[in-house]
Amino acid sequence: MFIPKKYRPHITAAVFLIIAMAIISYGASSLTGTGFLRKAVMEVAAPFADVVNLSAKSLSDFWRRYLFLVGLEEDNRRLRAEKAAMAGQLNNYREGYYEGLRLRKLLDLQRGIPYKTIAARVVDNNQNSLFKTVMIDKGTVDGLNAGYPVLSAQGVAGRIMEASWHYSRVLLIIDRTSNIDAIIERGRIQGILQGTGTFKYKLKYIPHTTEVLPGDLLLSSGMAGVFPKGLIIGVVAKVEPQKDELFQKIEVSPSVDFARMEEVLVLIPGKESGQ
Amino acid sequence: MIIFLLQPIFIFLMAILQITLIEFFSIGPVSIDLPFIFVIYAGFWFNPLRGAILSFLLGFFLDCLVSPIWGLHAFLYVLFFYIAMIAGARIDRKNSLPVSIFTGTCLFLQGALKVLLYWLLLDIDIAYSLLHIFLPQAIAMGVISPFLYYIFNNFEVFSNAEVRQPARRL
Repeated sequence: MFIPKKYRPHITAAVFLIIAMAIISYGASSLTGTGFLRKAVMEVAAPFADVVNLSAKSLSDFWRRYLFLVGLEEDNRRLRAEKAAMAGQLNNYREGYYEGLRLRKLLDLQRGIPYKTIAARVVDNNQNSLFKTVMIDKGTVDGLNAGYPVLSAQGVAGRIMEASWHYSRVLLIIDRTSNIDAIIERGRIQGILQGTGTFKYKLKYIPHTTEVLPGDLLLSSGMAGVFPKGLIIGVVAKVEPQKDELFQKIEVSPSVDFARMEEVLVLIPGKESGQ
Repeated sequence: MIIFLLQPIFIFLMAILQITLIEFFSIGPVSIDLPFIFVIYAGFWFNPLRGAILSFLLGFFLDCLVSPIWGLHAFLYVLFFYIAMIAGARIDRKNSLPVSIFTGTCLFLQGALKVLLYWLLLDIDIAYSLLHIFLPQAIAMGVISPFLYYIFNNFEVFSNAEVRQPARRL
């Protein structure tokens, strides 16, 4: 070649630039549409482009699906949390509903009693200790004092054994140390009902000559002056006549479900309702 | 020898990749211009004849596939290959900063020439794209160009396994 070596790169570039400009010139002047070379390149490129596009689309779909699943997982987690929150809320509403039912029963009981009453909530119901007691959320500030009778919606529950300013401990009538003057509704027979430490009472001092049957209702007699007369205490469960002894052995089931007691009424002795 | 025959095929595949995958590597109006980066790389490191042929072919394939002006990319790619070849002898090609600045500037100038040629040949005014497309693209490509050159370099070493080093301009 006659071209000096140092000019060869410049000449090479110039040649290709001229060819490119010639193509531009040809393309600009040609009005016959797509040229053969262009058609050939497009024909060859199309299948490759198709394959690349398909692969890219598959990858893209896979990625979108992955993102969708990630979003779905987040939605799922959020919905689970919402569901748990709503379940908690529903539970609160249900609790409120049942509490309303219990309070209505308590209110019905209150209406039949001529004393002033104070409603209280059971805050500690530990039945496993030596003494059968519960703690309620009212105390001397609310007007309560030791000895005041306590009722549940189902009947007599016990009496306050000690009271602090805002809380009181109630000795339940199922405790061994509890004794209540009671009468059998059917025969108007009077006896002493004693707690046993379990969910049973013993009805004492009922002579053999008196007919007592299982299912007979026991009411408070009102004799000792602690509980008003006529409150339900329990039902006779079993009667065992003791031939060698003076009195019958009578077992009584409590009318109150002490294990599930949640609200109580405390009677204020000496104050009639409306005062 | 086979590698010199295969290179036009690689160039062809690169053109196809550019037109098909461009949407996957775009952020708004800014997209990766892989062929242009290759042209600058060829200007820095390739033999002038080989680099000019590959740049011309790359531009020509792109013209056939997407360009409304036939020969536009072929012309621009050969032109910038030539500029890179001249500049490559004067700047430190192993230093990322001058390489980044040079690449970004060339990309922006290419955009400006495109605007000019569209206006001259097709009477279409795309001047707005200078600031909205070409400038951010030039900045972005300038920043990532050292990384792309590194990939091209490794590919070169891989494809010229018997040489065990990147191609150097004679």
